[in-house]
Amino acid sequence: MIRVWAVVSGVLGVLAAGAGVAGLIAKPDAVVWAAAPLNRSVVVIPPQVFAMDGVQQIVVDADAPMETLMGRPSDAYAWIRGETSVVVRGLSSWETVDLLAPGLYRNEGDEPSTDIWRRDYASIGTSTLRPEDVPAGLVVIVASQDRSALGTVSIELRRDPGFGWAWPVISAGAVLAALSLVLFAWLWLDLGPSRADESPTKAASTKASSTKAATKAASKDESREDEPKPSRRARRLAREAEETPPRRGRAATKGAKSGDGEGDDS
Amino acid sequence: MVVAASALLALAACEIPLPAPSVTPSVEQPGALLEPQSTEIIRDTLSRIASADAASDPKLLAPRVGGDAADVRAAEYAVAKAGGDKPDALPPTMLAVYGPTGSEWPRTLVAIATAADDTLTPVVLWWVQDDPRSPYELREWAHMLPGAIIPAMPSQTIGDEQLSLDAEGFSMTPREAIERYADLLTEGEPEEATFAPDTYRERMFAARKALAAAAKGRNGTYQDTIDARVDEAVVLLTAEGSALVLLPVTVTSAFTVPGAQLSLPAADKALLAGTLSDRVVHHYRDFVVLSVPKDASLLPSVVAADHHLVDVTLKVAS
Repeated sequence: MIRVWAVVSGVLGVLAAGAGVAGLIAKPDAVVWAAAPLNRSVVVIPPQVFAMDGVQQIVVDADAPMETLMGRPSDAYAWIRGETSVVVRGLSSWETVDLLAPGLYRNEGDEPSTDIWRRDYASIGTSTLRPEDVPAGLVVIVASQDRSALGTVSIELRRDPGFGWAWPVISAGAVLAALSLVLFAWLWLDLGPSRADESPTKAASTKASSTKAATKAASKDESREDEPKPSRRARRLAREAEETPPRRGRAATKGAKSGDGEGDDS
Repeated sequence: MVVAASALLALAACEIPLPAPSVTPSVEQPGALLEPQSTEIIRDTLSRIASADAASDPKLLAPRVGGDAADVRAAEYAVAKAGGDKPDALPPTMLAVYGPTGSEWPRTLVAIATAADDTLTPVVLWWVQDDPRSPYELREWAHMLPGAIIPAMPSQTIGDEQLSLDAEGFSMTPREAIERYADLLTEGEPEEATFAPDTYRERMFAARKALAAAAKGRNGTYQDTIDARVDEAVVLLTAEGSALVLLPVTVTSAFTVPGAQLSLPAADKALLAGTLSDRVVHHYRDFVVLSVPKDASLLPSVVAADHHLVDVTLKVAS
């Protein structure tokens, strides 16, 4: 019975650990970057985008120096009527930013006033915006100062990738495998002699010394299906033992050993 | 094992729901012009005025000073060059600043500057932004009248609500107040007072009386033409529920004495183009701030006004 438990726990442990490891391998990244090329000189980032779950930062890059402007939505949307802009609408996938490109407007080349902006600052290379740095409800506009096309907009997102069960399953599998090893070790070291008598495995491992034991086992096996059946060789030896008087000697002992050994395998 | 791994991969292939921009956060401070913004506008305006004053060059006023304010300043430079009064002092310290709210244009910024010295009163300055891409431009200024009080206004974080000229809930609509005050300036004091006394019209009536008498003594005429520019007027709702009306007024004063050879003070000559004969016309760009109370039992009053000479011509049309 202990051997059954050892085998079952070992198999379950390996399966569980394997499933957990497979889960860890298959688990999507918790932090992802979605991006999209802008191809226009002005990008508008509405407050709803900053309020999306998991947004860590939004980065706009360009070769030309940029100005970053923050203002009330009514002001910002009135201001961009004079610009060829693109609006960030959210995500179209975990890898791609969803953009809306309104119709083209002719830029008069004027240098617009910055009076309406709550904040404005210049940057070179990238403009990095974190939600905590943008006052709630404000629209952010990033524009290249020479009105050349911006590079890309990227959004860093933190998400729940699932597979939270992987580590617990791995742990449970490890525990089961360890338990299995302990049971096998127990059996191997014969730490439970009283139980060994109850167990066919134990009986085999105690190296029963007479051929009769094997013979009895072989003859009873036919009526008791729940006990291991001796092999043909064991049965043959048993018949020979019945037909010829037992001799003290190596053959009987050898045969018993051999029969026991094969019986173990069955 | 293979089955388990396949199931996991199938699970991994399932889409994690994309976050959607569904929440629209509200703006914490709805005012259209917060204190840091207005401070920068005022600083830039006064800086440009200082530069223009130093060079007596009105071109340096742009783009922060425009409209009547630029014309008035240019006239002041010309008068000062001719030996007349120096340009009005516009102190840099503000007693109060009132910013706009809402999402419409044009927008208004009003500031009250401290008095330049003990002999003067605080100055009301009025900026206008015509559209979102234009700068706030100083369009008018006027000194407060002695004893006048400007009603409390909402803070900049909330902003001043701009009303229509026909808004009700006051002792009269702002449009009626403008029309009645323009009539008052044109026709003189009525028998029954419709506005609280103010020194602006008292001085105008006193000058009119003297000049009319001088012209009449030589069979000439003197006529003031008052044009209250209603279309440019702005009405702000005060914190106490009254209306503050910002009103540009054009005043044209024509003095004619047939057959005479008129003469002018040196300061006025600086603004005259041409050779003076028997007719001279003074053009003024005034700025009047009216307070229209909520309580019908109270009279509307003028809280600030200045009479700014901008041009002197030989004909009525400048």
